[in-house]
Amino acid sequence: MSKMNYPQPFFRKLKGYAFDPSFSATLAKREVNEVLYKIKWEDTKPGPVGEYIAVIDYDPSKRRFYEPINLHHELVLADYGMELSEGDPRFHQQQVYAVIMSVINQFERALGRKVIWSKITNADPAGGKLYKHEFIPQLWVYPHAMRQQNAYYSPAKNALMFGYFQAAHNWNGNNVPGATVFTCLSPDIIAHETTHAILHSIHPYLMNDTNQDMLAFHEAFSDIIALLQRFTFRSVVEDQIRSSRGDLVSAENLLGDLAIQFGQAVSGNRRALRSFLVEKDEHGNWKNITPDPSLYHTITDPHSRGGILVAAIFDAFARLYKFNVADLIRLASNGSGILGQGEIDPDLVKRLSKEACHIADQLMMICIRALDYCPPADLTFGDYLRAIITADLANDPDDDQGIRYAIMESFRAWGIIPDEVNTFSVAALKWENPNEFFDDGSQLDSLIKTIKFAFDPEFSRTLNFSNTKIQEVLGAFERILRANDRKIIFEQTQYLAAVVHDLFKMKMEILDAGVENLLGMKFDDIEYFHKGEQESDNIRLRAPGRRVFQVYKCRPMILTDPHTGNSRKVMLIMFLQKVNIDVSETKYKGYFKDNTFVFRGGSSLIIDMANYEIQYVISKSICSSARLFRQLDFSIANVSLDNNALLMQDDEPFASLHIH
Amino acid sequence: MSVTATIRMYNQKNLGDCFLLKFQAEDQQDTYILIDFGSYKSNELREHEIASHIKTTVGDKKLTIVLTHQHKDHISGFGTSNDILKGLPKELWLSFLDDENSKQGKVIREMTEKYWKKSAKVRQLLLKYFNTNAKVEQMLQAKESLDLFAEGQIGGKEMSNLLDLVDHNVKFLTPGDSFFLPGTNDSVKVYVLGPPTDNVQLAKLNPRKDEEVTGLKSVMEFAQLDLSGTLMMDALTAFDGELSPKENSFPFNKKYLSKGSPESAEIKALYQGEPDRKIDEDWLSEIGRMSLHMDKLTNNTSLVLAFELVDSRKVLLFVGDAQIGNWQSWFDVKFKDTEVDGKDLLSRTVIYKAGHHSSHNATLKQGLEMMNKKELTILVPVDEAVSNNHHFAMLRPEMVMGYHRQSLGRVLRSDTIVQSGNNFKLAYPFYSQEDFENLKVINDSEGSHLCLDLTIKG
Repeated sequence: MSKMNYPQPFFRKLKGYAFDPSFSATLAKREVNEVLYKIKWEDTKPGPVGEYIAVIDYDPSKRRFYEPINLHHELVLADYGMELSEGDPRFHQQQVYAVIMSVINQFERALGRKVIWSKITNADPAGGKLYKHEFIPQLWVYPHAMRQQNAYYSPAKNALMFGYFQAAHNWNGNNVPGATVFTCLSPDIIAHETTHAILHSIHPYLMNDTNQDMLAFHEAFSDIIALLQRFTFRSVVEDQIRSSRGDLVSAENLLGDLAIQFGQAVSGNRRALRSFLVEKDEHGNWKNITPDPSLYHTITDPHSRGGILVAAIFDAFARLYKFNVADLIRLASNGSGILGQGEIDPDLVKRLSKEACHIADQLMMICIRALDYCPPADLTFGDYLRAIITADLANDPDDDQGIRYAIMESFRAWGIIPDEVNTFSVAALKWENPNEFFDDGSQLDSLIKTIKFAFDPEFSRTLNFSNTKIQEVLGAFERILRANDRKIIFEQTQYLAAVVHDLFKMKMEILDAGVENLLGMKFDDIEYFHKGEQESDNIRLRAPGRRVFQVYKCRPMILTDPHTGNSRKVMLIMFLQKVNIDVSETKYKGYFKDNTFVFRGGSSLIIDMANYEIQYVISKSICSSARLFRQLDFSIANVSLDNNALLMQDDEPFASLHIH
Repeated sequence: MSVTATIRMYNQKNLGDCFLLKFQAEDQQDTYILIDFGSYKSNELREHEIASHIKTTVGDKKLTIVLTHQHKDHISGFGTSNDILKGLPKELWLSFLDDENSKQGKVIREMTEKYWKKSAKVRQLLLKYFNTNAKVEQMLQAKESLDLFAEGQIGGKEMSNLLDLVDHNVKFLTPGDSFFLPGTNDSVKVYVLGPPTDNVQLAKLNPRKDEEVTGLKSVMEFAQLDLSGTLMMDALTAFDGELSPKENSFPFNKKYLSKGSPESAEIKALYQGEPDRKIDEDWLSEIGRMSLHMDKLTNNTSLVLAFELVDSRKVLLFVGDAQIGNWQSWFDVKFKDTEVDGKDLLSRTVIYKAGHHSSHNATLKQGLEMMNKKELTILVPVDEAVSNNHHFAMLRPEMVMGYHRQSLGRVLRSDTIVQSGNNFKLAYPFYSQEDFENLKVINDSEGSHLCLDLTIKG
């Protein structure tokens, strides 16, 4: 049978569960739980094994493989994949494939580029330090990896691991005592773990636990995507709206459906989410929780802290929904704004759902896009808010729907306020343009020249010595934008990063000493000072000069303005430097290996390639004493309490995070 | 009525607790209490030496033995040195959880018993099927480090020896009990603070500032762990080829297992092609989690006693290996016919026996901060070498610093006598041996210290 005769379809539609089947086997939910996942068409081998993921259904507890599904088998293709079935592993494979691919599709849509997995390996066979960035074609997915109530992303294996287990032998919610629960059937869990993997591929250094927001952010961001992912199914939202009579964000509805399932599905420890959305009033009735800005300053446990960020985003969603459907409710209630008794009009249900889905979709895109505007290390929730505002401003300067305002309002209500801004406005929250905050005009000039030297062939020609690699740089640049093959994109990006690194290093070291300061780095000795309450509490630390830094990302992108249709070509470059600080003479002695504290600083540089102008330098300065001492205090207060060696999960950071 | 208390901390040259308390009241015979006697690693010779020393000290007077909980590092001595200790009039104090009639005790015993049976079987199976696997060996080692604490926990000879030793003269203590110590002419009063009487607190093992759900969750967690433990065991049992009827249909009907179709051969080749990404052993990590949980659960059942020197109102606090949940319950304990409560006892503590060899989760920060007496001395039975070898979280800088701050440097250790301040930046030093006016060091035949005697006048 030749393919030639038929055009390739745009999408592949696959049946799947919308919620975890083990928690929603109720009559009322039976119909809405089956949805169609619509994902980009790709050729797949049995597994499914596609371009991005390989589902490997190996069950180590049986030392056997389960038969893989062949999505191209005519009986599978004929009716949107296999029928839903908890008892057939091939359907499980279909479910994970469908959910993971749809999350990947969302990220690619938001970022305007491909998701690429990679891994840093030590390429020195002698055990020295020769780190190599390696392309990993597929994320491996093990739907039945363990017999535990757990699922996690393993950075070391570049894999998602899903467990299955037996529910406790007592009745709890909707589950059946003793029934087998498969985490790989829960779209919430799958989306959550996939997001961990994608986030890690974009920001590898966010896994370092340098402040109390870092781990919380990883968790919260994954929860946010999983939560918003629920709104991609119109039929599910319609059902929610019907049963809540339009009040999608009321306490009863949140409790009755969304948050409860979410909490149950993702196991006990995700209760945090629910506890940040609803609470009991003095009569024992559930009500929406009133945002409490003090929580952000008092809660430290990563899950609860992550809950604050999830709550803030959800709060923004609730505000936007209420605001945007007010007119529809007025129309449907003869201007009173109060709907009559009984079920609401099916047309109204449709329109309300459309709004809800639209808002959720926009929020998801905004949350994802913000990732490119985050500093490369030591991220805080405040930084993320600034990234959201900056990213959205770049993407949608008008904001005629007021999304930015809704986000600002809810973040403020939840106490997430960046330290360094004076007013809580769009203008103040967006990252500053370098002209606004660098005093030294000549250094900035020098940095711009470096950029032009690296990328602008015209500029190179005006100089006595030219950039001999300019053609290769431009070639790589162009191939990255043109290529479809992720491996080529990866290799070219790596090449570009290496060239840019060398050019910058040469410029900064030889020609314009001190320019690296603009990028949050410093090559000379660095002095740090902490002023204590008394003279004797003062601490001085020193980092010996280190001329080593890395350009760990160098990625050209095309951004399209949805309103004007204009497209902009921008370049994102991430610089990161680390220094080793000897703390043996201070109260921090005894906590770190060899009494050396590793401190990182750097920046994300965003350049407009039309004129080589620097749009933003989002930096975490390696010279910041305040940041260093904050990080030291945080580290000694959080010396991992439970011994990870005993949990035997030293190299699985997410495994234990999900259990505790 | 004045009384002098001598608190003796033995140096096992090993990780473990052994404390001999002597109370001398006016016109009375000396009264002796032995709180725990055990070593983490087998230590027969030293235990004999200590037992003989105890016997010589006590002479023909009555000895009360307190067993805080059934972990090896608190009980092993009664297995090795029973014969030496025989022949004295004795009484044994245990927590109410050890009483056969205690409902909670029964639940915990059943859970424990089940756990150990399973654990032994799983270990055996792992050795059988993963004999040469380095990863699994590592897992087993870490697991055994923890399990060793509980060696012989069920039906162990130590416990039956101990019961024989005291001729089954046992007193079960419950929080809220308080009584004058017999033979001291009402100059010493005993208050029972722990273990907690309700399951919820017993199971709360980990301190967290804003923990929403507390104990119940932990019991649930354990039940869940127990289930996955069973699943793991079932799977390992079925490794031998023939699938049991249960494994035949769990989690799927066996017809879905691949029988070498070309499709599954391709997947298999992919899997085999990248050894670093294989998952053959990862699922076994559950064994470590189960051990950890079991260990904490037992520690939390520790019997906690406060000895009040009535006249001077000074308190000697012995907490066994009580963990956070145990500590928190003390604030709710009510004693009959007295205003004294847990908070009050803590605030009057002059001797604190550090919980669980100074582990991070065995001293509640708020509790430590309540111990405000200027003369507070903290006794730490610990062995740094053993702790380091097994990666136990003992002697963590933050905990040692906390002891230092609260006791103004008066910290005594069973292994090194005093705590060195070398690794810390301190405003004032730790006490040296000479700084302690009430300390007497007794040496063994080889010239190293056998025990430390600390005298408290009350």
